[in-house]
Amino acid sequence: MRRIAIAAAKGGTGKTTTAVALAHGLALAGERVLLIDCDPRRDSSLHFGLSPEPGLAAWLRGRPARVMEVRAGLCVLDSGGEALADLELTLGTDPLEELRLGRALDTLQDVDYVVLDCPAGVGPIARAALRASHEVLVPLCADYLSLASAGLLLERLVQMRGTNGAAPRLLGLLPTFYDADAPSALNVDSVLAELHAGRVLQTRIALCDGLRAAPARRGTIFDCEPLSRAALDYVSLLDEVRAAAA
Amino acid sequence: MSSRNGRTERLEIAADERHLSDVRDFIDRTCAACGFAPRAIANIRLAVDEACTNVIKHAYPNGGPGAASARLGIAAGAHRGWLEVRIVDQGKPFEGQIDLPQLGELVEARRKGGFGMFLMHRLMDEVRYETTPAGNEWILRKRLPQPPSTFARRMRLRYALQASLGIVAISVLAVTPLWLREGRQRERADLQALRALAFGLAEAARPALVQRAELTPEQTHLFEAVLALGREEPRILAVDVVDRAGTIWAADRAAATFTHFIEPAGLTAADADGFRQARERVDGHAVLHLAVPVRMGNGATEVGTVHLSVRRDEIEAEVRAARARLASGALAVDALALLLVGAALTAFLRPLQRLVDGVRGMASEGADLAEDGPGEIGSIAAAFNDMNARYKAARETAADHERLQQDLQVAREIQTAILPQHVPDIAGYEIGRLYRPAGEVGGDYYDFLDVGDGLTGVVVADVAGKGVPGSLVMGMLRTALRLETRRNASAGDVLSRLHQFLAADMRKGMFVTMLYVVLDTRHRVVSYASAGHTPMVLYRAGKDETFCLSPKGLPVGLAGSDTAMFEKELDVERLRLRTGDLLLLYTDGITEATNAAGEAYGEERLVAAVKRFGRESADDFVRALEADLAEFTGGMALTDDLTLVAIKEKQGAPEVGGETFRKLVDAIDAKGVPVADACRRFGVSPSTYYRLKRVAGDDSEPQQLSMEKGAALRRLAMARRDLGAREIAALLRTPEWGSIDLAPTRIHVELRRMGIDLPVSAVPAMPAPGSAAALPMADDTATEAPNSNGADSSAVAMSETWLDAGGLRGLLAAPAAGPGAALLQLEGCIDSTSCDALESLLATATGAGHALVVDLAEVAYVSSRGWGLLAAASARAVGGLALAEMRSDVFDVYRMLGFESIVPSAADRDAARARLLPAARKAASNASPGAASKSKAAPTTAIVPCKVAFDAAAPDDAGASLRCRVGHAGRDGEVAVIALEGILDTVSAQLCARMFSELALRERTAVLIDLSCIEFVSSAGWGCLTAFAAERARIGSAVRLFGMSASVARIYELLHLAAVLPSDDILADALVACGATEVAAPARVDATTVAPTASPSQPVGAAHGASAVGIEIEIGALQARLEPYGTSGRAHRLALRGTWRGDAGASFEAWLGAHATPVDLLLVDGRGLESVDAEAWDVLRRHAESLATHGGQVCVVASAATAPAVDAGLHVHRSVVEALRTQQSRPVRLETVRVEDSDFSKDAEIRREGWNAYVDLLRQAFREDAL
Repeated sequence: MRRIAIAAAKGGTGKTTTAVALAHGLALAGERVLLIDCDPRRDSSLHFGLSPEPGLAAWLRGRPARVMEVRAGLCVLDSGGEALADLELTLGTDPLEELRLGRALDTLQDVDYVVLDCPAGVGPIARAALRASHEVLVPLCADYLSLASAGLLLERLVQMRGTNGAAPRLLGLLPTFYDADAPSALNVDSVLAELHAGRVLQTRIALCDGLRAAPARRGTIFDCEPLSRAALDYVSLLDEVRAAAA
Repeated sequence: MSSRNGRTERLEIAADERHLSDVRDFIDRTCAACGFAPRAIANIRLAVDEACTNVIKHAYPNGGPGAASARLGIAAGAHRGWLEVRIVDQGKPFEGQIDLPQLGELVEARRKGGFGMFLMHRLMDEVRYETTPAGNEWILRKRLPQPPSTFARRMRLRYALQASLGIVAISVLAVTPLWLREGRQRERADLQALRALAFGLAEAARPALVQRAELTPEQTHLFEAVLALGREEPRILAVDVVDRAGTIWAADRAAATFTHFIEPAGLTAADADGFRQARERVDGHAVLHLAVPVRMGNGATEVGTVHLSVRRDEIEAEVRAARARLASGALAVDALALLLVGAALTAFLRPLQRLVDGVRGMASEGADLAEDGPGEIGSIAAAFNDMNARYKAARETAADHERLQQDLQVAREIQTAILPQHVPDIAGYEIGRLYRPAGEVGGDYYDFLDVGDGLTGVVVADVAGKGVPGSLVMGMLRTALRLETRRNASAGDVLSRLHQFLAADMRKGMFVTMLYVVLDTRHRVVSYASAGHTPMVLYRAGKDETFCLSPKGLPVGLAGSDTAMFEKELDVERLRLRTGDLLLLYTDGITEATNAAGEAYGEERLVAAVKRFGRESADDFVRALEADLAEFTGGMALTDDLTLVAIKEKQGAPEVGGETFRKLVDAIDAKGVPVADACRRFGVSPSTYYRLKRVAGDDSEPQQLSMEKGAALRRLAMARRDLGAREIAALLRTPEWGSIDLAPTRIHVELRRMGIDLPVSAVPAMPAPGSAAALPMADDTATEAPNSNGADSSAVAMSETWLDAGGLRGLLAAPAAGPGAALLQLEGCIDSTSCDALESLLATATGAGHALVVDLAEVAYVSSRGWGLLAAASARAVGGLALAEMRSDVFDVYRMLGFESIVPSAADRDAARARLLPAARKAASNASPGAASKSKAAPTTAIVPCKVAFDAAAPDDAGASLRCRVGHAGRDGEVAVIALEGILDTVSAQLCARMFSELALRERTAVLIDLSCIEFVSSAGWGCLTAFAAERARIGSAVRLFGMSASVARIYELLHLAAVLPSDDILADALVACGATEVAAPARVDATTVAPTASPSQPVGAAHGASAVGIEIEIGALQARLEPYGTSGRAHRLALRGTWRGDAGASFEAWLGAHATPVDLLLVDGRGLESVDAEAWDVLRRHAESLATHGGQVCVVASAATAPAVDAGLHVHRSVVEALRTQQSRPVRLETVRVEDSDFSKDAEIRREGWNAYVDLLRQAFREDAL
């Protein structure tokens, strides 16, 4: 079972879009995927038009929870919304709680991929999700603030590893909202090459209207625009992620 | 030894405190490779950590050049018996002090930093700092540990070598004869046998040789004999029977017969039997040739010779084999002997080795030797021990002496540092001073303090107790003065606060006498209080009179820490100096100075000198006094310290109230005109009189008689014992007695004070108590008076009533009409003498229907009847009654009586008024906030609720890992307990300091800091703790530490922090030490001891964040603490310390069973255990089993040494994080639900086509696009 956290220190870099597309793509390719919404805003759940569930918050408290099989082979665990936000308070103060998610995932069976959609930032929930994952994928969009914040997350990963080695491996940085024609795009590539050489994935997710429209239509890019540029990009991301397993 | 000059390891880190943990790991590794013991490693780690912190802080200060990219290089390695750690940076050179700092100064100053340098010096053997082209370099060196002694091994080798040589020599000597004999014997035997054979053949050959005929039966017989011989002895090469002519008659070789025999060369001469032999070599074989004569029967005639040639190879081989057996046997014996010798040497050298090791240990640690060695060695050890004991004793004596010298040095330094360097410039006053310490360290102290608002404090103190304790008290005194005098104009209040500050910290039997004078440069008033100090001398230049001013007061520290008693005994007096007046503050050093005759200088001489030189300027006065003293003592050394401070008034007091007021005062005070009459006569309202009088003060004159008047009175009274007070007064007014004007009542009082009784009949009529209240109250001068002064800035016209009864004076200002609050200002004591008058005044005041504010600022004492009156008046008052500005001691009684619920009180008048009048509330809220802070009692100070839990950082974060929890203990939660967990290093110390400041702890709440879960404290950490303690001490709260681990405690002791930060081993002791209520005395055996605020037996999770201190138990040498872990309430932590044996099991098990409720996880932290036996773990195992029935589990964190051998049921780990990570969680099932109502059309389409086909299609589409 591979556990991939999609995390970024900054909001709006395409975490949820990537998580949802990656999860759905993997499911389409025949894997059994569990997408865990770790964001109290329930972005991933809303993406599939799910109504609120006790979800992750309940599961972490040892109460029964349901996962929604939204597509064949693709299940979604709701975050629990407000309840998860409340839980964050204890997560922040209790060393036991921070490891709880990882241990809960240990008990799962019949799942090939767990994709964790983290909330923005490096708060308690994001940290717990990172602790629970094996790999982390960091989407970052082509602007200064996003590039700057990538460092924060990487630093946090190094810190986590420094203490007891329980930090996920960096799968790579994923440039999103990529517009090859924009005058700044080249610049972004060179900045990334300079700052994060060796950490950037080959794939770039192009700026695409289909990606914007998909959540409103309660589906992913594969549901809405399967023949778009963005779909192609996510397919290559998929290939890259699967190749990284070896 | 090559490994001891190992490689130099290098590490480079960014100059950031977060990377210090890397440095610590690096040092751990390097030191372990060098063979340091864990304890030494801990020390080196701390020292290097301090040095790196220093570099990061000083070389790369925040925002400094290159701070962001700054690197720090560390190289560590062993060279020539030293471990050398070099820390290189390229930042700013270090500018501070490199040498070992004086610890005394550090502790005294309660500085936050500076301990680091001290620690570095103490923990390392050598600390250097160099600036090289490569950068700045800190070089820390520590001597490598001594390798284990190889003495015995070398000795054994040498002895064994010698012994083996000897043994070999002996065996060679012993074996050589055997060796030789072996060959000879064998040869001889062989020769004998062969000879016998040869003679036998010769015998057989005789007939044939005698006959010398061919083919005779004799020759045939001879042939047969020859052949038989050849068969019989296979070694025989050739047999020849030769006749005298040399012809062979018979041989074993047929062809040889009748040939001529050639005798071999080298045949020996014939022996008695005619036997000859020769040794020769034939075809490479050793051959023995024998020749035996064949003789006739008479034995004289030789007829021939028998020659035998025999191969000797076999015989030689036999000899060789025999010799080899001999040699191997000898070798075996040698080896055995060597083994025995080796064993004997080992046995013999072991005690010697022990002795050598012991002596080495003695040299480094001073340990004694074991004297159990065999005879001689035992006695050598005993001799060494004896020598060691003597050496130690000598060293201790030397150390004692040195310590004493250091003590004195520290004390001297403290003293020189704290005495004022120069006299402040105080407007209108001139100050002269003199300080002569008697010995090396004086016990006197004087200081000038800027109080603010134009006030200056002057203090002269004498500390009973010299040396370091004395100067420490002096240091505290100085600190306390600096803290308490600021903005505190009341001399009495300052002294009582000083008492509060110091008394608790002073040792029994130590005390401080002190005189504190406040000079008011604006109003030219001097107020002063004395804590049991020698009197102050006032010289009135105008009248040439001297006064001994000695207000009542106990020395600080004498009454223990009973501040109430100290305050009760303390009087404050006020005085107005006129131009040219001189005040002399001194310590008893001057009056007790003696001359050669043993005569003391004494007070009289002093007063005389003051009169003589009083008109000089202050400096000249002091010099003249010193000269006078020197003349008196005639050069005798001082026995006590001498301190003089002379204050000279240059400016004089402004006249108060002008001519009229002076006349009025004169009329009332001197002529005895009732105040009301006098006021009426001079057209002044009584309130104005009282106000002016208060400003001018009754204190314009000292309350005592001047020395001169006193002396005259005493002389007269002693001379004329028959006279009554009236007659004495009359006599004194005559010029003969100096025209002294004294009222008879005053004379009576003064004489009584002097201990001179007047004739009974002569007692003048004293005013009966309360008779002053005969001053009409209701119909008294209730005149209208405009308020010109701003004392009561109410615009409403006020009617004023005054009161003067017994020891109480008062002024009631009531609004003439309409609503508003009346104000009753009282001054003096409310006791039985004044209660009657007060009662009627209160009746007047409350009868009018106003709200009444009673200002008790100047009331020193309220008797129970007084409280009763106030309560009754409060009940009666229509508009309500409120008390304002109570003094702290009065307020204490007020609170003790529970009056808070009966009579409201407030810090100041405006607040009190606001409590009574809703309309006035708004005005009060606009009042200056300073009013509240000035109040002494501050009864309305809001009690800030304490934050319950505060988490500084998540525990697993790198660098700053410190957790903090706060709880309260004691019945009323009067003791705050801060539990720290993690590492207290440079990073977390900042965090910790911030945390301390954010914890809104109540004033005067004792604070206990739990360090039991702290692994490491750097100097910054200690600084943070001491700073916190100092800050708390300032607001009257004590800080104690407890539960330090051994390694932390070592540093604590090294820094001598016990003086600033007391420490206890366990919580119970700490609670007792800070006076928490409801703490049972910690029993040693089988008892639960602490009353926790929140017992873990209640579900902790229910009260979210409720912080429990935990429960502790001490059974024998085992200390256990059970507390909630985390905030979930589902985990407990059981920390164990000390030694755990199974015999403590039953009571421990009972305790555990009673307090450990079923939880998901019981984390047993056994890292503090020193030793533990298997039986003890069984207790936990049983507990784990019972916990398992509730679905919980026990995780044990223990070191390798103490971990249970078999962990059946217990999950044993080395670290907490590891334990938490591997904790099993109950699988929670996730139910899967299919969501039906989505449009999956495209999804289904892709699935239908197959993923690969879809991807191909997709790629195709874009490839086409690209084309």
